[in-house]
Amino acid sequence: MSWEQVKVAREDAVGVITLDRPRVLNALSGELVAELGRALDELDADADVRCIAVVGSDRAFAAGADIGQMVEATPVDMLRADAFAAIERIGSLATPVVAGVSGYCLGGGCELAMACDFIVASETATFGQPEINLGIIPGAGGSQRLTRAIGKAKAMDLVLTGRSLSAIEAEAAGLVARLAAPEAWLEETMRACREVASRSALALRVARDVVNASQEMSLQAGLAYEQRSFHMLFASNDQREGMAAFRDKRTPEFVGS
Amino acid sequence: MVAYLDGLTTVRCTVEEGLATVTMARPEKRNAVDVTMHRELRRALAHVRRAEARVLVISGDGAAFSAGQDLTELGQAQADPALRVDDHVRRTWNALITDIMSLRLPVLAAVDGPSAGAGWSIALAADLRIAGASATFRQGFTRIGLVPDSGATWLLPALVGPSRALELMYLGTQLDADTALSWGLVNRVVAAGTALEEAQAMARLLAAMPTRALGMARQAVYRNLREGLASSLEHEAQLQQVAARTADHREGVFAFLEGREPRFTGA
Repeated sequence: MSWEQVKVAREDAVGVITLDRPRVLNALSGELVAELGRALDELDADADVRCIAVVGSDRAFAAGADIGQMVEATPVDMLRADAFAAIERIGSLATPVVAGVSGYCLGGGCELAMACDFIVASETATFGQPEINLGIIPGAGGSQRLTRAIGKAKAMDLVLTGRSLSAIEAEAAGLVARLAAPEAWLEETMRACREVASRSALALRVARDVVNASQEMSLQAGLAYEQRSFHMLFASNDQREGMAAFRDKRTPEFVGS
Repeated sequence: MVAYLDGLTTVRCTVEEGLATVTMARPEKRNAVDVTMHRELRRALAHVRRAEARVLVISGDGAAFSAGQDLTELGQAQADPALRVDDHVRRTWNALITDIMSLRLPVLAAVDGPSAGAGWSIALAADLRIAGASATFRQGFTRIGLVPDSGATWLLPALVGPSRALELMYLGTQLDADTALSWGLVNRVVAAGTALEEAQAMARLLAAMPTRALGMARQAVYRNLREGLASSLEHEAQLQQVAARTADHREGVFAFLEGREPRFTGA
């Protein structure tokens, strides 16, 4: 099957999914999200891909959902379409997913970026949940992930007024992990992905799991979960290799198990 | 190849072999900027981007560069309390200054007469200012009970420091071209009436340079004015990675090694 609304590429151990609907600022149609899901599944299944980048264009990561598809929809239509299911599955993939954001990252686009493991953003990127302007609310995790990321004060401002955060504000508020020069955002995203991809795939998977779990658990339960996960890794080859390489002052060669 | 932008009544815009010229054209109003001219200036700048110009010169028709905000519009705002000045400033001046300063090519202003208030801010938003000998500069805002806007509180102190900026803002002093030169507010003073042709001559040199490197240098300078050293060094490293991959960089290096003049395309 061919790709029509996304582009999929490989650069060594990094898989790159580029949202590709330039005329509509990558508005997330049902088709685009479905293709995104398919691309994520394919790259996740490829053992040689050890980090996935999801990026847009200079002008826009994604400026929202495809409104035209939703104007006349009924609740049952929306339930059946489950148009954003692929976004929710990102957290349960085996491979780390990094969002590279430039330009508009709004509504469903912001929700997609927040569902990824972390965000690298151009200093000119803008983030927002402007669904309120359309008489609705965020429907793909925005109200939940944004509030957890930046706190109630700013999240409520964004969700109630539809205003945008600059990338600088977003980084200061804890939404964006790394800022990049506007011309260099893609290069910096790939650099971050290469850094991730060079680590032990097994340790990465466990690390993502425990960090995500911390959002759902009490501190006590989270600490216990982290401990058991930590202990478990001492049965792995990569732990032996990583620690021996450190002791012997050489570069580790991870095998992902 | 010359690309004209048609359908404008208060602005002229041409792009010729990479050199874009945007001219404020309301000479009967000393190029005071009303809502129409704001819209047309923004359209002109969008055209400059689309045409992939390699340098931009901004000038004003007639005896003045620009008198700034059209005061007739301000008079109307007085008559209608529902009119929000803050929204007007955001929509017009803030958008215009942001547009000029976010361009990724060198920008020159050719100032051959009085520039006042927000009209001066347009010149301040350029990277380089070429002034005719009879050009003058005035912060007119406080004389009518307003605060300097259109970026003046950021752009002017960046050039002359807070004390000289505030002196100009408090007193509304009119600076002549030579004083402006000695204060670092203009790059060159030329014979009266020749600012545009001098600016365009310099612009032609810039249009033949590696545009992407110039555009990134421009952005980096304005950004790093407000950043610390560590952040600026990191920013430069990121930009250099991009610049090193441009065709113009390759051409620059090979031309040097082959002992010939480089031919830069802006790519």
